[in-house]
Amino acid sequence: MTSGALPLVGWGLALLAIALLGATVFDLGTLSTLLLAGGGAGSIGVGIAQAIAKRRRPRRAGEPEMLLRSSVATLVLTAGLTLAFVGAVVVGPALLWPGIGFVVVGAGGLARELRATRRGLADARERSGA
Amino acid sequence: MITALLGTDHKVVAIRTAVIAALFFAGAGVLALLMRTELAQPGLQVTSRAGYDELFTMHGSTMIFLVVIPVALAACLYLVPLQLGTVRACGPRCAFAGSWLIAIGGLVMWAGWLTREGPGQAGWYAYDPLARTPASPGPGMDLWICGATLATVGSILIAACVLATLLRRRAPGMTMLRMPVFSWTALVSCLLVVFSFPSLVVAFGLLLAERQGAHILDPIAYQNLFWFYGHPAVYVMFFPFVGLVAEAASVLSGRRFFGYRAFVLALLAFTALSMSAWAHHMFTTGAVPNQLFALTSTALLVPAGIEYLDTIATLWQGAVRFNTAMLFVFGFLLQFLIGGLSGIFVASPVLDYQAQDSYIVVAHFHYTLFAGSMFGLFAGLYLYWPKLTGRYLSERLGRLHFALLTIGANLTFLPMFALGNDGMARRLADYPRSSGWEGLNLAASIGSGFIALGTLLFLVSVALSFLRERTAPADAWGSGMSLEWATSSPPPPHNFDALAPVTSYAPLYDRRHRGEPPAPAATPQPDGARA
Repeated sequence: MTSGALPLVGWGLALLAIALLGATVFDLGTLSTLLLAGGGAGSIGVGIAQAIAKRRRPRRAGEPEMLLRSSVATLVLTAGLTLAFVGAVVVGPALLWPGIGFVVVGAGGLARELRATRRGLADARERSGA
Repeated sequence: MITALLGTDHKVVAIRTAVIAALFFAGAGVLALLMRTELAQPGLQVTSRAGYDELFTMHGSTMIFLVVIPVALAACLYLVPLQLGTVRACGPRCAFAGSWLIAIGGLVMWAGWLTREGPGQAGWYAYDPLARTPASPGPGMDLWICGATLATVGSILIAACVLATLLRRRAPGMTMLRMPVFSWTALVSCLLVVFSFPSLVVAFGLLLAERQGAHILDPIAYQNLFWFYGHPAVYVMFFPFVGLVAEAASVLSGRRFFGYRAFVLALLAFTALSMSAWAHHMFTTGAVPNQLFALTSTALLVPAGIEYLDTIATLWQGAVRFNTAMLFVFGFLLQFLIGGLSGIFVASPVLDYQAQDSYIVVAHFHYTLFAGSMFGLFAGLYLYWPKLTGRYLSERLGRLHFALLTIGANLTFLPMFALGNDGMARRLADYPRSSGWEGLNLAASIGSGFIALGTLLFLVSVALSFLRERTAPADAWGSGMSLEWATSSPPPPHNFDALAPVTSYAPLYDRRHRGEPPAPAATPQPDGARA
């Protein structure tokens, strides 16, 4: 078994089978059936996506990779989203607006980080001749 | 310090998540001690009835959302890339964000203590309508829901990264059926997280809307959504620890894991069934087909039995080393058995109607989650501590830790079966002196003191280990099976300098028996990039 698709699809089919059994034999409610079938369908979907991705973009041994050491932007973005969420639901504008500010700053920083990562990877590939 | 806070390496993120979980574990432990002190004798001595509601809500929700699930996922995030022979995990920013979401979510949950009405007090399940504004007023409950939601989203992000790593970043030659046992348990745990945890986010979103005045939530629909998360969550708190126990059994007995393929198949069946058993928590509502959920819940015994037998058979005729990690393996196997067997009773609707909301249920889930999973965690910690830090934990203190925890867990949770059988309901802050429950409650309270003492001793042992030299070699026990034992202890940021070819699910065992070193000589890599 070389692909991760098989266990995921198999597992998803098992959930679908139990959902079908529940709906047809045991009078399982609509929400319960949908939850179970949704989980199964999701797993099958991920399995198929994995198989397609593996075929389209197989990993090559020896390909250089960037190791990300830290990410301040991700932390700022995460903190911003959290503040905005708690501000919107519980505390109010006193947290909501600073949260949105953090999100904007964090998203900008993340874009810069991603650009730098891409550039670094391209340089490393050039150096290693990959 | 900056790396500890901002590092995105999978090992750093995993250790940070585990440390966050340990801090919340200390908080949840204090709450548990307060509850046990309150229950030690009849009358209200420590807190009010409403205060007791807050204590058990915050204890349960902290343990589940902020301790056991995060620590299980942290173990997966740390070990999976090492076992798969890859330089990094997929989505490092995603896992990093997940780790911080758990920390921030926890702080938001605990911020409820600062509000006038106190924190959440509707139980860790926050049943509707108990969690609506009239029954649970104040921003503390809102903060609790927000915090639990954030921590759950954090867990989903970490699990998605581990799942993607398992599917996309295996070393050359590492087919699915050559993945180590722990990696398989990580795979099924992450499947459960990714496909069942979103239902909690939906349930809590609806609950928040309900508290804001929208009338959209039906109590039974809420329970379905909640338990579709809640029951698989129990297995997320179990499978990775089964994996750790399986690794410890194999490494410390010097034998390849017995019945590997049967174990993998059983694991997949176990996971599918565990995702289909959620409504046994709703037997007494009369709103679910009890026969179906009794069937799926009872059927869980078959794959569970296979996993147990495989682990025991691995030990059979092996050169078993009775060190602390192995003691915790035996502790896990015996105590989880009590939790599992008591689960058969509550999987039967007829018996569940009797046990519902009694201390039998409290005893059952504490035997699975504490006496089971936490013992599995400690087996893994003692096994992998040299890999994490390059240092060994004290065996003498470890044995004392095991003894205290075993006495404590059984003294605390075994009397609860008798209390439940005697009719003591859960979530009670007080009981009449005439009930005759005083002795058993006092025993349980003394037991919780043993658990606290054992945990403190473990912390001392951890602190002492940092005073020692780093002496652990790559293969810290000399009998490692999978690739994590082929790299230095602790591993470098890029995980491996060179990789051994993967020929089976125990590549190091194969090499050892062919008389080859654990890893071939490293070839230099260009700066800033590793192959």
